[in-house]
Amino acid sequence: MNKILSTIKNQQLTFEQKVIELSRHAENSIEVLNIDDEIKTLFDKKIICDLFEGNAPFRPRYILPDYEKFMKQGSKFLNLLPPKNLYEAVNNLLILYKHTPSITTYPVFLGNIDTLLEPFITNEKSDLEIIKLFLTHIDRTLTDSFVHANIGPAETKAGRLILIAERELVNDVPNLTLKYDETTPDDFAKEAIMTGLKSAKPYFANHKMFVQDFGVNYGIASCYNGLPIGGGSYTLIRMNLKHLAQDSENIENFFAKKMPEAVKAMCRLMDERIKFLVEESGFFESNFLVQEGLIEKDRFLAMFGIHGLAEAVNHLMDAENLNQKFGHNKKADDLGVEIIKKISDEVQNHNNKYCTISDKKFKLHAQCGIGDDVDTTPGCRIPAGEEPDTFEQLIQASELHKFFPTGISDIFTFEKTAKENPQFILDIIKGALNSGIRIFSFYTKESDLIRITGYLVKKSEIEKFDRGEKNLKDTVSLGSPTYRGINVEKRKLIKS
Amino acid sequence: MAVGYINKILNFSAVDGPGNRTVIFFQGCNFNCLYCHNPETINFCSNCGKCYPACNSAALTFENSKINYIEKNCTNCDNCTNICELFSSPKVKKTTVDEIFKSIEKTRPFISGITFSGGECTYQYNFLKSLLEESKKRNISAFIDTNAYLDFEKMVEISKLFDKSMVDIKWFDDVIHKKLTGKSNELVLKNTKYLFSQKKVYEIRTVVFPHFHENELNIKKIAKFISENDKSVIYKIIGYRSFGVKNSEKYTEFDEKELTKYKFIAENEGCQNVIVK
Repeated sequence: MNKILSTIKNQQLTFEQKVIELSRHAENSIEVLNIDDEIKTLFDKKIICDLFEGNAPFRPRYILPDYEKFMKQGSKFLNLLPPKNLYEAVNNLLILYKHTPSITTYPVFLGNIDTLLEPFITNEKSDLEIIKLFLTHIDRTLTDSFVHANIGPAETKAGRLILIAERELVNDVPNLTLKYDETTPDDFAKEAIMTGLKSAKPYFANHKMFVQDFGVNYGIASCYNGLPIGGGSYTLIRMNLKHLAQDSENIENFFAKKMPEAVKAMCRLMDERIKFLVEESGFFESNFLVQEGLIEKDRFLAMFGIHGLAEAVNHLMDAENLNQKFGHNKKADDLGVEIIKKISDEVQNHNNKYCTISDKKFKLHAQCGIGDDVDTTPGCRIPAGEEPDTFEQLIQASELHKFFPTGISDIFTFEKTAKENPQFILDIIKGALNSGIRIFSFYTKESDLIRITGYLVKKSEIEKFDRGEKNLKDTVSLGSPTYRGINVEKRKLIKS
Repeated sequence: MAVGYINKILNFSAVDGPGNRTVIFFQGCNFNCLYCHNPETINFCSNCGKCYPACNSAALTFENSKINYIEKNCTNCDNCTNICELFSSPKVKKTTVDEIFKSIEKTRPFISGITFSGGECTYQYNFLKSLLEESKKRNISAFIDTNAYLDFEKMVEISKLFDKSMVDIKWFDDVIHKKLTGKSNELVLKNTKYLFSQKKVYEIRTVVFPHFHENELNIKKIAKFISENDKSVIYKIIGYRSFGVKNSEKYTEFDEKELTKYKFIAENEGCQNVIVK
């Protein structure tokens, strides 16, 4: 009751944020999952974290509706006909977005908004204004930085207008990804880079890698999560490798006992959550997205998250000096790869009958952290401030990215003067993706809008939040402690 | 195997030609410009040992009248080069073509090409020629950043080996050029004209140096020279900055507000691609 009252009285929350938090209190007031003692111990040791998914899963964590299908058929439930022009197209999408559930209650995937809008582009000048209103509407009503739109890999008129609009608007929502491959024209990629230098987006996603994992029908949702369109992910639970290493007696004990036991326990927890969601919640029987064929159960998988690899390696190797640490020492880097490979093998040993799309397997995700994470580096990244030369960092990271089909990324900071030579950044991105980097993101050190871990927040909004002011975006409250907790301001600067 | 002296290798650069480039800075220069912003690249170390006490991080030793540089201890504080009276550096490495390309191959997936800079890269002619031959063999785009003072006959020979050049034309009037650099610009202009004729010029650069009064006229004459040869070539006009310059207190700082004035002058002479910074 205290939590509920305290939410009601909290003057730093907006009305919408209160409603969402109150619903979480309600969900968490019941215990419907069978959580065994071993899992509870791992929770207590902060080795496993359910990332606030709640006690009674009543919707999949990440949902990626088939918006192409929606544009063709409209929606009976929403009483919408297929759009005939750009006004109707953006209006239909905005309506569907507000009825797409997720862990955050906001849609974590907005679709390939370039190809969705391209058939309706008739006049680039006036259409740019409509697209700006569309994106502004998203920013002011879907007030969460995990709302994520995709464009590319082909160049489209709509894609270019979206990049121009984002460069002008500099909004933190939506998150944006350019699916990039060798067919993406350099000129279009450079347009995206110019937008990135102004507004810290889009991501460059390695289209070839994602197609190999999921086929062409995939989307990048939430932070940087690669998932099947028309489905998504039931759940994402994560393992803190730093805490797991600290709980192990030595490297042998880590590999032989602690890690396999923790993986098995975490898989049991994921099974339990999926079981309730699929068998008891009634979501897949009752939600209109399922009934209208915009999502189907057979296209859902589940994400096995890890983070804090750098700290785990450094702990297991007793590395204190920089030249002994992850990112700077071959033995440390090799141990990092070995840890991820063995976790991947262990996860592959587990089957869940509801993950049809992924052959009953859970898929690895390099989780980027939450506000409570102090001195625990997101996913498999090298800690901020300890990055080696950029090309060495990229080569080191590329050894790890292949293990994470449901998402892993690295973030790079440039000087704003790089805008005088966008090919400079494109060369680095091309090299990175060709080397096996899955997702590349960047912003400039001078930018107010920055990527905290996987989501975007304005530094000026963090300052407001720290002063006790209300924020429209709920992700500012996550970004504020994380900005300090993982030393975002210490990220290595790539000088131009 | 040709051997040369390298001041440093910069793995990624956004300002030394198109795209991202790995830059090899040669040691040694045949000019001695008043505003040189990396004067430690001008001369070769005489092993005088005066820099050794200035190092606070045990990156230098001085034994048997010879300075040794221990790179892993270096914090790049620049104490050693700041104290050097000879305009040199104890960090210069004697190196081979193979060693240079071993380094370049690591960055190769991430770059558009390489740029040989300095110092003055043509000052170590044989080493540069070997590096350019190797670049061609490996099919790597190679640019040179040069003062174009190399003997013209040799310039003809190596100009077949590099893809493009970035040429400093420091002053058009030869009397002032001599005051500024210590050398005549006769060869510079002749070589640049030749490079233009071979379509080997990517960029021309001039520093606006307020210590001399006729900057406007200088930019005008150089811009005219460029537009007579190739209007579309990049003309980069750079405001003098005191950073790194020895005796910088003697020279007037550049007023950045004036940059657009020089852009306008160059464009008025027909240059189509003027950048000021």
